[in-house]
Amino acid sequence: MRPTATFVTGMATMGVLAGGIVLGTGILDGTATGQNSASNSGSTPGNGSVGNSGSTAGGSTAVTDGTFDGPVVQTVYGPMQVEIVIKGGIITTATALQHPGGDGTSDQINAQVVPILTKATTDYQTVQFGNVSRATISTGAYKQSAQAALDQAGFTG
Amino acid sequence: MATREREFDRHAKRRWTAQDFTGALVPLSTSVAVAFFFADGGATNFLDIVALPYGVGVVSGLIGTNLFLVMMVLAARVPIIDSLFGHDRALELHKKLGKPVLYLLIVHMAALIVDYASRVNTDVWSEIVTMLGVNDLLLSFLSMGVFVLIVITSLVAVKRRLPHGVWHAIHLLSYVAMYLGMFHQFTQGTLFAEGTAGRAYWLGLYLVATVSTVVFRIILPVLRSVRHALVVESVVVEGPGTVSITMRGRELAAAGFQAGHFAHWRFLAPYLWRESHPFSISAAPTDDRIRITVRELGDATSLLQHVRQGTAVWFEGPYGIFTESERTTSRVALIGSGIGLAPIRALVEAMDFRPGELTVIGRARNESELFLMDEITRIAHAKKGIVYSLTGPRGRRTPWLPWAESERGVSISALIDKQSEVDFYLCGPGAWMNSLVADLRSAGVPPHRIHNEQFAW
Ligand SMILES: Cc1cc2nc3c(=O)[nH]c(=O)nc-3n(C[C@H](O)[C@H](O)[C@H](O)COP(=O)(O)OP(=O)(O)OC[C@H]3O[C@@H](n4cnc5c(N)ncnc54)[C@H](O)[C@@H]3O)c2cc1C
Repeated sequence: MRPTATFVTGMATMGVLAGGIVLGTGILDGTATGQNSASNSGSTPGNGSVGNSGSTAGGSTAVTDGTFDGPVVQTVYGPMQVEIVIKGGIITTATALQHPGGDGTSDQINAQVVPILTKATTDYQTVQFGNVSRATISTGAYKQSAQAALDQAGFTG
Repeated sequence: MATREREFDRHAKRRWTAQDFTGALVPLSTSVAVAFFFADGGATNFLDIVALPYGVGVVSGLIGTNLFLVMMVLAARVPIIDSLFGHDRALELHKKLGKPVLYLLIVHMAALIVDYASRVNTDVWSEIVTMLGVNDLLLSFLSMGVFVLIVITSLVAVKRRLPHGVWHAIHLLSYVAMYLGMFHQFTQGTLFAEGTAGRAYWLGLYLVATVSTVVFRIILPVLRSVRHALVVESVVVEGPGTVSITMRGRELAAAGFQAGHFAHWRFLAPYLWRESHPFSISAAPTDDRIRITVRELGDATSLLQHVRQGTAVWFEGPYGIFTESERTTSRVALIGSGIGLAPIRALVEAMDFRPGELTVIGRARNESELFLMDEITRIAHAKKGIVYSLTGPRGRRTPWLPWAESERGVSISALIDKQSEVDFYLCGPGAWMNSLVADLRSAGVPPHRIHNEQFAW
């Protein structure tokens, strides 16, 4: 490679990495943020018009009230399983039935992460929110299990 | 500068630009992979000693896998890569990446095992057992095992002791390793989780590696072989243990063969059909005929000495950049030794020379091994070129020259004037070429004017 090209490539490479870091700073501990805001805007908690939001989304599926358990998702830290309760078409509670470190091992990270994730689920009425940094494995497993539970309920957000 | 010179100059610059752009894809794609992790909040792992193993583990995995996919593409014989860098240089980079990629993946594995074990407060061994219970991770452990095997069998010392076929069969397992390792990348963590841009990008990389392999190593060669329907037309003895094989076929112009190219040839005859071997074309190609010249070296090449007329031939190619497209200036020296004269023979015929632009040097132990030299001399003289035939035992001072010339103090500058303004095309045994390149470099020939083809990888 010629020197100029090497220089330009080096700068571009650093630029890409810096861009990644900048994008990543939006994701901070405990401040999970909504990502798919466009598709979620209609279903902020408390607006209550669940039947409507279902039909505006073009789906014919109605949301079923009840308690739904997602599958157990295995992670390297241990199993994760999420339970979702839906009342009046709204996610009222999200609980981790099992989570890594939940069996008494002192997993501080997961102990902090799970409440953040469950709160974000009820706050945003979706699991399509940003990740909790340094806990992406648990976040991924949580979202996977919770999404499956939401799918059972026919909840499209 | 004459218009002709300017034309060569412009052509060379265009090629270098294309090379630079393509080469830049390696670091750039790698940084994009890492940037996806940073955009997913990954950079914060490097701010905290406790989270550091996780950050190091993920980043080394991303870089390692990205480079692994680059290796797959380099081995896929993609036409644009071959025509810009040449098959041999692509394979050289492929080889160079092997060990670093293995080390990166080992760091990835070790760092994450340590990280996970420390988070759940268990020891490394029980953590490994937990991991083996997660299906996708079990597959990735298997992938690592296969990868270690591939790298070990490719170490120079080991590879030399293995039959080419055994090594090749093990090497083909790379594709298995590639897919075994893929699943855990998508299911562990959020980085490439469903619905993310990262997932689309990463799948895209796998797709590029897979498609380029299937298309360029399987589909295209089969289609070409069927379309051009090559059959052996004649076999002519050129010297001791050396024959020229002329093949006849259809619409060969469409295959894009140029003088200086080589291809992997598969002769559909007993024993020979099982393996393909690389040979350069030894005459300018025409639309219905193509010729190679084969020197006996091992099993396949000795069977080829007696290959029957009418034998069907499949091929993968054309490959290589030992062609006129690498030319950067008007004056050219074509230098070949022994069977290395085969592509020189094709180049002397196909390249465009004005009087005084061409010098040819043929080198061999004795006259009978100056393969194709009669044809080369006739064509070079018709193009008003100068021809030197140098025979005799290897010199001591300048090993690429015969003893007599070498000990008299002859070097390249005695044979060609203004060497730094000449394009040199060299083909011959490795040690011979090294000596010649050293001579050229000390005579002030810049590297971009030296083009070489080695008959071994
Ligand atoms: C780009 C290129 C162009 C070549 N052009 C010519 C030519 O024009 N004329 C000519 O006579 N020879 C040429 N060769 C060399 C030729 O390919 C080998 O001599 C031949 O493959 C040996 O096969 P074998 O079974 O007879 O010998 P073996 O005993 O199997 O091997 C002898 C040597 O050849 C190497 N080799 C064997 N099979 C392959 C293969 N499939 N691919 C790469 N290397 C292999 C082995 O590693 C070993 O070093 C060229 C080689 C390359 C790489």
